[in-house]
Amino acid sequence: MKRMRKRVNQWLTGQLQLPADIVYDYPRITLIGDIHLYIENHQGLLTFESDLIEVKQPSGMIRVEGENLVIKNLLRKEIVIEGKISAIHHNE
Amino acid sequence: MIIKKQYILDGYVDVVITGKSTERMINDLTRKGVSFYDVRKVSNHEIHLRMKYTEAFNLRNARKQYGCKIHFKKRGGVPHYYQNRRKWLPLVISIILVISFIFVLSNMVWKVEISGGSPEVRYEVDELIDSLGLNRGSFIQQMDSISNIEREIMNKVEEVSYVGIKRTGTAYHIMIEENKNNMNDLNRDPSNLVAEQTGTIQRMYVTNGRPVVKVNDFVKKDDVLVTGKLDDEKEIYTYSEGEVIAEVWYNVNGTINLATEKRDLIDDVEDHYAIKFGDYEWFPKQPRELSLLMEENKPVYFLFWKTPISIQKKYYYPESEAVETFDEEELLQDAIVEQLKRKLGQSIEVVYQKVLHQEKDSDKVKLEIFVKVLEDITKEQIIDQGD
Repeated sequence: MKRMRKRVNQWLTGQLQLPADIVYDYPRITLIGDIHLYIENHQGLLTFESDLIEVKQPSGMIRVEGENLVIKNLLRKEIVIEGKISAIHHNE
Repeated sequence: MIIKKQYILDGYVDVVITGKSTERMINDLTRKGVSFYDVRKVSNHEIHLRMKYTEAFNLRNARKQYGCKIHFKKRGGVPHYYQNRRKWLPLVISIILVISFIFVLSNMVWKVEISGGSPEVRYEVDELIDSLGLNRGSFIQQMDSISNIEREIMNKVEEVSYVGIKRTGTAYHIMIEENKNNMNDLNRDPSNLVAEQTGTIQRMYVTNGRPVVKVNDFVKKDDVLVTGKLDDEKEIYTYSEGEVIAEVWYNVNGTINLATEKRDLIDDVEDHYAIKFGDYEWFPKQPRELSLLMEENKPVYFLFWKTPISIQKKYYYPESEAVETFDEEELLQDAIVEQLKRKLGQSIEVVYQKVLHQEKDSDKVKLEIFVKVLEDITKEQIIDQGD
C-alpha cells in the first residue's frame, strides 16, 4: 500500500507536474540570501536558541544554524526565521 | 511568504516568558492557532515575543501547564493608539475649533475706515459701501471686488473725485478726495466760450459770462459766443459757463453691413460656484454645456495670508448663434442712427436727415447722408490777459 502510494505520488509529480510540496506534504523551504528563511507546512518548533532552530516536519526535522536567529513570524503553518543563517540540515 | 503585519491592526502585546519548557509551550500554542511574532531568545530560560492582543488570554492556561512565568510589557497597535488618543481628543477638537474659528474670522471684514472728504460725503459713501457688501462682519468673499466698489463710489457719489481703497488684513481704509470744483468758482481763470462748429443758434442758456450772440444768429467756427470780459471799458474778467445749442449741418459718409452675426448674451446667465485649489477646480454642481461669460476669483484668507484655496464664481450663458438678415429699409434706418451717434456723439438730436448717395455691394451699403442736428457747440477758451 505504501509503495503504491509512493508510485502514485511520483506519477503525479512527474506526469502532471503538480508541485512536490503539495503532493508529498513536504515543507516548502525558501531561503533569501542568508538572512530570511521561510518554512511553510511545518509541524512545530522543537528547539529555539539564538544560534540554532529545529523545526519538526513530516519526515524528521530541519536544523537551522546561524547567528542572532529571531523568529519573525510563528504561525500554524508557517515560520519565518531572520538572522544570519549558515547551515540547513535535514534529519530523518 | 508575506510577513504578516496584521497584528498592528488588531493590536499587540509584548510578552516575556520565563521558564524551562518555553519552546514546548509556544509549540503547543502554535498548534492551537495562536500566532507569534518577533520571537527572540534572550537567555536560556527567557523568551521575548509579540502576540496579538486578542490571543493573549491563551497564555493563562498554558502557563499553568508548562510552569512558565508570564510578564506583559508593552501594548501597541491601532486599538491601543486609538484608546490613547481618546485622552487627547478634547485637546485635538479644541485646536481644530480654534483654527477653524481663526479661519472664519480672518475671512471677515473687521474694520471699515473712511477718511477725507466732508462728513456728508463720508456718510453717503458709508451707506453705499454697506449696500455693496463692504461692512463690518460680512465675509470678504461675499462683497464686490475692490475695483468695483471704487467705480461704484465714483459713479454714484458725485462729490467724490478720487477713491482709494486699501486693504490691510481684515481692515479696509477708504480714502476719499472731494471734488472742490464748485468751491473755487471765484478762482477760475477768466474764459470765453467759442463755437466749435459752424451753425445756427437755437437755444442758449448761459450761467456765467456775457453772451454776445442771440438766438437765430449764424455763427462760424471759433466765433465768440459768451465772453468773460464783463465790461468793454474796464478790465473785469470772469469765467464763462453755459450751453449754446445750435443747428449744425453734417455730411456723413459710412458703410453699413446688412448681414450681422448676432449673439444673445446676458439673457439667461447662470452662475456656478467652484472651489479652486491651485490649478485644480472643483465644482459642487457641474455646469451644463454653457459658454463662459465671466469669472470672479475670490481668495480665502488665513490671518494675513492668502491661502491657495479660492472661491470662484463663474457666469455662464446659453449660447445661440444665428446669422440674421433683416429687412433692408428698417435696418438701414437703424444703422444710420447708430452711425451718426458714433460719429457725432451720443447726445445729439437729429432734426433732419437725407440720404444723398447710396451704393450697394453685396451685403455692404455705402452711404452719404446729409443731416441737421442740434448740439452744444460751446468750447471753453481761456482769455489771455497778457500778464
